[in-house]
Amino acid sequence: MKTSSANLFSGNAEEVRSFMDTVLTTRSLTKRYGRRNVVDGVSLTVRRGDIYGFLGPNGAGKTTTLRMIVGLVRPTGGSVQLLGQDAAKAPRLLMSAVGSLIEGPAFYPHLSAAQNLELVRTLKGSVNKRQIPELLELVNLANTGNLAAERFSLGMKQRLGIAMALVGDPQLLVLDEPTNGLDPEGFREIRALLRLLVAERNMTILLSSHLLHEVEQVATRVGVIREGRLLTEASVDELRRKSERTLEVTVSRPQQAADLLRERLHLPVERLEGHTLVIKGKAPAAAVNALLVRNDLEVSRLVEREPSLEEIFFTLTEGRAEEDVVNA
Amino acid sequence: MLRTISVELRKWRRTTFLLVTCGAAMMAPFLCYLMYLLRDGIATKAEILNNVMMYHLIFTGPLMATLVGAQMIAAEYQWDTWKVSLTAPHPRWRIYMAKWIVGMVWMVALSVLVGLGGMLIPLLINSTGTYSFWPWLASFALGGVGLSVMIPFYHLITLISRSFFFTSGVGIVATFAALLMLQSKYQLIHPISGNLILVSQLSGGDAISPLAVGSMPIWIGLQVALLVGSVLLSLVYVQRADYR
Repeated sequence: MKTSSANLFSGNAEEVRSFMDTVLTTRSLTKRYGRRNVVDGVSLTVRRGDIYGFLGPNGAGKTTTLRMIVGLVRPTGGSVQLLGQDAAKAPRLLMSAVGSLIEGPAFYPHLSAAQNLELVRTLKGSVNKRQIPELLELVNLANTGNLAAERFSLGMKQRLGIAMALVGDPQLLVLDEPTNGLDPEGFREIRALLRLLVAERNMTILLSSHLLHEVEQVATRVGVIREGRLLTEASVDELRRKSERTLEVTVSRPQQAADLLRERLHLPVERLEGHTLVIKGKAPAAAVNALLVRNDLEVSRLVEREPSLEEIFFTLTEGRAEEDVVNA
Repeated sequence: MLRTISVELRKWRRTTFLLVTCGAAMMAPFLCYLMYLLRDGIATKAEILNNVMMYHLIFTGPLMATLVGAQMIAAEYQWDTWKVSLTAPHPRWRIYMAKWIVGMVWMVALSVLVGLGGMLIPLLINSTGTYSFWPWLASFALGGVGLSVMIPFYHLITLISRSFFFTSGVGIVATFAALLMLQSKYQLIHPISGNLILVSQLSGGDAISPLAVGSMPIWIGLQVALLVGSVLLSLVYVQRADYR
């Protein structure tokens, strides 16, 4: 802590603000099982108020990273800093400031939702008893009464897991695949709940998921991990800005249109998909339309497309995979 | 520490396992009752309780200690609730010590239940004499403390194997083996399969195990070593293990 304070006072205003705004930082976090680095030098930063989407294909090291953050798995190397403190040196501070749902909800199946929350409340200590009915209301489990949690539906179990993570109003909520097993209505409820937690309870959320379109709708920043390495970390908007847009033109004679656009406007027509031309980069839509119409080509559709998070994700992960093959 | 103990106790509410152990506690009185039912002659009340105690300490008690020790750990894996305990703001050693204390309380409570069950037998069959209620109940409670020595050993096995059935198998084999193999060369198996210190004390010079006669320090040493060793190794395991 002393070192951190010293750093604080020696830094400029921007650095100080950034330090105060940071809830979680991992530095070169590494986990090795046998000879395999499951997590390899992951350094991520989660700022206050973020909904941080932690993305990666299956087996990329997402869950192991989250387990290290909440203290279930001990890192082989690197460190976890929570609220400016080293988690290894102040584990109790870490635990009381973090709520987590890792790899599915964990609860005592024979107990009711309220009894499960009561146990977590006792474990956390100094949590107001009134929080339990509030949380049950929040996750829509208030009417479950004495029903044992093992009899809940998948969605109810998931919501109970989230409620258990919320006991004690943690500053950081770590959710690993929280929408697993939920129907579209369940997705929508969880999304709304996450937004509410950030807006009204000032929570910061670290959320891992393989459902990219879900993350895209709630995340403010994302980190992409593949084979244990963090490939990139940025806001969703930043990632979109860095990625190339496309212009899709559906036209009557696509081959002739492609030649025309290459020749006259020097546009990089990437591919033809049936009657649709896909042009990479920010193409002047109006000029394209005018040129094609002037040359008696019927334009039936013209769409400027921003890449979805899913497309960016695949570009990043597959691109790296190809690089690896080339390097090998 | 009280919070972790309270949680450890309360998590067993409404479990079938709690009912099963209470039912199992009635095994020793029931076996004893059957024995007296099939036997001619009238027994004294003290003799009946002595037999119930003996059955409990060398047979049903060790089996119960095995099941309780195994289930306390195995259930956490089965329910995936290590995540709940280990992400709470408590050091890991405290979480484990709460389990050990609750295991001990559980065994004492079950032994008291055995004693109460035993006290019902004189009401069901012809018997003579009297017995002192509280000293006998205290003896059963003490028997439970002795049996609870085995709990951290079975905790340790379950922590490593993560299997209720494996640990139960070890416990059952050890209990029956100990009943069959009473020669000195098998003495290492006895501390994990029965509370022979109390057995030898109860039976005076006529101990069930020839080993127990005149060799109390060995038994005390073995049981203390078992207890301390198992608790320490379990603590080291809980402290260092990754929960995946």
